[in-house]
Parts: sequence; C-alpha cells; structure tokens
Amino acid sequence: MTSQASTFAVSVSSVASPLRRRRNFHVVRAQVEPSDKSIEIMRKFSEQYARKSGTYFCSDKGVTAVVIKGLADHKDSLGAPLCPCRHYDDKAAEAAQGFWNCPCVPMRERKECHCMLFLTPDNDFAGNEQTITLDEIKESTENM
Amino acid sequence: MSCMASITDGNWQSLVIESETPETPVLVEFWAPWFGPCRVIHPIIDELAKDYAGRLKCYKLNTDESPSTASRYGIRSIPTVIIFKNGEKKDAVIGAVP
Repeated sequence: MTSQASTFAVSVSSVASPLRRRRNFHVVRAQVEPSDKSIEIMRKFSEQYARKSGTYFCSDKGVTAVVIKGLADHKDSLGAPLCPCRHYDDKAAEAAQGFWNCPCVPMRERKECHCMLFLTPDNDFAGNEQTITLDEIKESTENM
Repeated sequence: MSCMASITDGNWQSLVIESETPETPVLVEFWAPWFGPCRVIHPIIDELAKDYAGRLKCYKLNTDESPSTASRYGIRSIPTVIIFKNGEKKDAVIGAVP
C-alpha cells in the first residue's frame, strides 16, 4: 500500500513538473539578471563608446542602466550584445548577422540610437555625463 | 510602474480581434523588458489611458513573452504602438516620439 502510494506520487510529479516548468519559462526569463561580468563589460563599453562618439547618456540614468543590462543579458544568452530595443523573429540569427549588435550600424553611421543609450548633445533627453557606475546601474534597476 | 493591463499571445484574440466592444479603439504598446525608454513611454500611455478612459482600451504586450503576436504584426522597433478598431490595425507609431 505504502509503496503503491509513493509510486503514484512519483509518477504524478514527473508528469506535472515539466509542464509547470515550461509554463513558467517565459515569465521567469524576463526577470533573470544578467551576469555581473557582462554588466561590467557593457558598462565600460558604453562609457568608452560615448566618449569616442561624442554622445551622452540620458538625463534619466535609469534608461541607460536598463539598456546596459539588456545588452549584458544578450551577451550572456547569445554571445553578442544584440540591441535590446528591437523585436527579432530569430535572435541567434540576428546576433550572428551583426547589423543590430551594439554599436549597431545606424549608430556607427548616423549616431542614431533609439534605445536612448547614446544621445547626441542636441537631443532633448541628453544629460551631460558619459559615465555610469555599477552602483548606479544596480540602484536604478532594483525595483524592476 | 504602469496601470495598463497586459495582453499576451493567449488572450490577444479575445481582447483585440474579437473585442466585446468592437467600436472602441484598442491601443497596444509592444515593449520589451530590457527596453530603457519604456520608463519614458509608460507614464505617457498611462496618462492617455486615463484621459480616454471608456473611449479607448490600452494594453501592453511583452514581445519576449508573446513573440508570435509581435512577429505577426511585423514589430521591429520597440516601442511600437498600434491602434486597432474592429480587430483591424488602423494606425501605428514606431519608436519613442517625444
């Protein structure tokens, strides 16, 4: 009797758990934090590229922080900092192709960054800083 | 952050295409979790939703969670805002237009 009951319990959980995991997959994925290592790489890259291109971070550094985290997330999952502000039918193919890897072609050619990560000084949303600390990134994305 | 209701691949058909009030326009903001300027956009659309309460339904769709709807409407730039009436796409605003 006991052994029957335990067999039953095991068989139920083995059926239920993959389903449950699968259903939660999308919900959980959006909240997974990118690795500190990738955040730091993308933070440094953003500072360097802002200086090099003569662009500035948004006056609301929360925007900057979210985009840097998005780039880090793609670097972790795809191996390349694919633009987090676009929708792709096939992210892996886009990352391999490279057009939308940061700095994307529109940014390199025309200084157009619709993520608002790199803003030209004439942009209404541009601040006057080209630096952002790891603490700033963490603080401003804490409640996401 | 936002009082707009979420919409997904799952309830898209019932809320947009076969809306109970087909004459009421439906506004859908396509967004993504790591999209920074949503901090700028969400409050504006929330404001719109409040101002047009009863005359306009507002939803937001997370393109990472509902990729097939986003792909069906050819979403590329985020945010894209699309307005539907009688289940048909009427107008679209692409990008953050300040």
